[in-house]
Amino acid sequence: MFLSQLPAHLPARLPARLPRPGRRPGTILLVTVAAGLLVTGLAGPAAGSDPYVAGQAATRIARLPAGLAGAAIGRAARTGRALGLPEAARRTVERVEDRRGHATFDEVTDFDAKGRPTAILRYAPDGRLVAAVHLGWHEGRGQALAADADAIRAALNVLQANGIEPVGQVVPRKRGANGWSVNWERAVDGVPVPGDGVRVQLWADGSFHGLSLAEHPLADRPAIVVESSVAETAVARLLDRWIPAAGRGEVRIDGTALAWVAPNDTFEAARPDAPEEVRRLAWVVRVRSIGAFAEVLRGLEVAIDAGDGSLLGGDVLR
Amino acid sequence: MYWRANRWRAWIPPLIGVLAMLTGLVGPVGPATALAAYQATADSNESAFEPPCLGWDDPRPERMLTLAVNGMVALGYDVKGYKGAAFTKAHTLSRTVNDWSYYVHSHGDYYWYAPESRRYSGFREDSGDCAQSVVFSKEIALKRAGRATNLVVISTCFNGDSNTTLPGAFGIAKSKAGELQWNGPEFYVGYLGEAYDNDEEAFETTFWDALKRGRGVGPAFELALLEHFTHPFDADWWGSYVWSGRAGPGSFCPNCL
Repeated sequence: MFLSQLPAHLPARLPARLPRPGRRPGTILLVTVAAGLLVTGLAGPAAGSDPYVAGQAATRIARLPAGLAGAAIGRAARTGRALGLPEAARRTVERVEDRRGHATFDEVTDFDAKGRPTAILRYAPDGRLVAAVHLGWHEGRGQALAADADAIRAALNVLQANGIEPVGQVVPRKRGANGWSVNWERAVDGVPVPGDGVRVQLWADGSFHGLSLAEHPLADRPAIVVESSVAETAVARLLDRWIPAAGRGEVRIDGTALAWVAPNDTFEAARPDAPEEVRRLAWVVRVRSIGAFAEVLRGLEVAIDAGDGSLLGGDVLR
Repeated sequence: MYWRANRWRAWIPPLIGVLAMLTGLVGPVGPATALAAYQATADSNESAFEPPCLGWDDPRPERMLTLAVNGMVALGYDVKGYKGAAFTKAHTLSRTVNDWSYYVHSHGDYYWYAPESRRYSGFREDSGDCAQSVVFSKEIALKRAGRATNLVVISTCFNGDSNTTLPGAFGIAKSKAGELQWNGPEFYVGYLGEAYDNDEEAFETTFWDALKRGRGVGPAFELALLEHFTHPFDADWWGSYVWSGRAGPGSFCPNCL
């Protein structure tokens, strides 16, 4: 067992000299360790018992055993060739636990002969590529892509070279001198999962810049989905409570749509700091302000559970 | 002989940094504080998103302030965080004279500046009430009088747009120095257009974490942009991609040697 797999309540480093077995303090310590392992298991602290709190480290870094590290570096070499990354003179690899994002990945950093980092590649523990970025500022090295269709074609080439088949609706977006972003948002039975899917960043000339993939677990779909009007009525009542009377007339519901969302603490500060990992089906009610109140609050998104009509969280546009 | 050459090589970068400091080669003069303590300020507008201004208490402004303060501390800044009644326009304009780094989370826009009948970028103070004045880039620029800044993160809408006037107010030119270039130890980050808080928080959590891990400002920005945003979120930067983010004027271009 690696030290990083010890339960969270144990010290990171055990005392260098434990009392000899048979003595009472040692016995108590061993019993405590055993009890801790029985309670928490060997798989490391669960998110539920060790929630991320803002201000703590957002990531935990661990060294990978040589065999796993070698496999990750081998994958990175193959991915680098497929993405057209510069040949690495040296690679390092670390296991990263993203506590806010509820994710663990092996992060490989490519270095050139002068020791400069040139790329970062991330793999899920099962070896799937989940993110990559070609470091540096690469403006104007070739002819700029002219149109959306060119950007989509270039992004597809990137994905196909890595055996990734995107699904869903594609949305290309020009990013000025920063190039392009091409996004395939994940949808399940026609309902979007915002933040999930595949996003490819390209430099202006269509060469590879960045790639990220996400697919969060979904809760069971409710047996009965409440009508959108139920969600809108609930949100209208919340707005009556939340918006001061002088501004209430300038705050309106702008639209309602189903989406799989991460419950969060936007409207209930007592909830955990990190958004939940499992996405729930919700009616997302969009709210916009007009007139002077838009200076106070531009807009809101309020997520209402599509099954029981409860408040799941939301988002704020300042 | 080989051992001696290697030993000397290790001293070259810090020596260049010290020489650059002494001879003023690192760029414009920074704030007037003693070089040993690099003052930084982190402001967050929480009052706009809690009673009585709105009917719920949004925890995010305080959380993002914590992230920024912790991040700046890790980079060696002598940082203080301000929120509520302590984050006023007067406070920000007073502190900015000596700030080597600045963070703000608030409303932001390209606001109308009546004295000159034109618009300037800016953000709103907190002031602990619901009547919040705009801090204009013009006013920051007047106070700073061209002094250089290290790291500036503007966590608002619109202040990463190409027409933002805030980078210049902090003495940061809107140009990008890539792997083999150097604009000095400076980096400005802002968001494009309207940006939702969840996306801003996801970006900033990763940005500060990557800086703490020693990734440097450019890679930290890149890693932050790999986050899984729930809206069409985008951010931009100006400054030196290869800078470490660490406080003070003594940094050098690690790739230019």
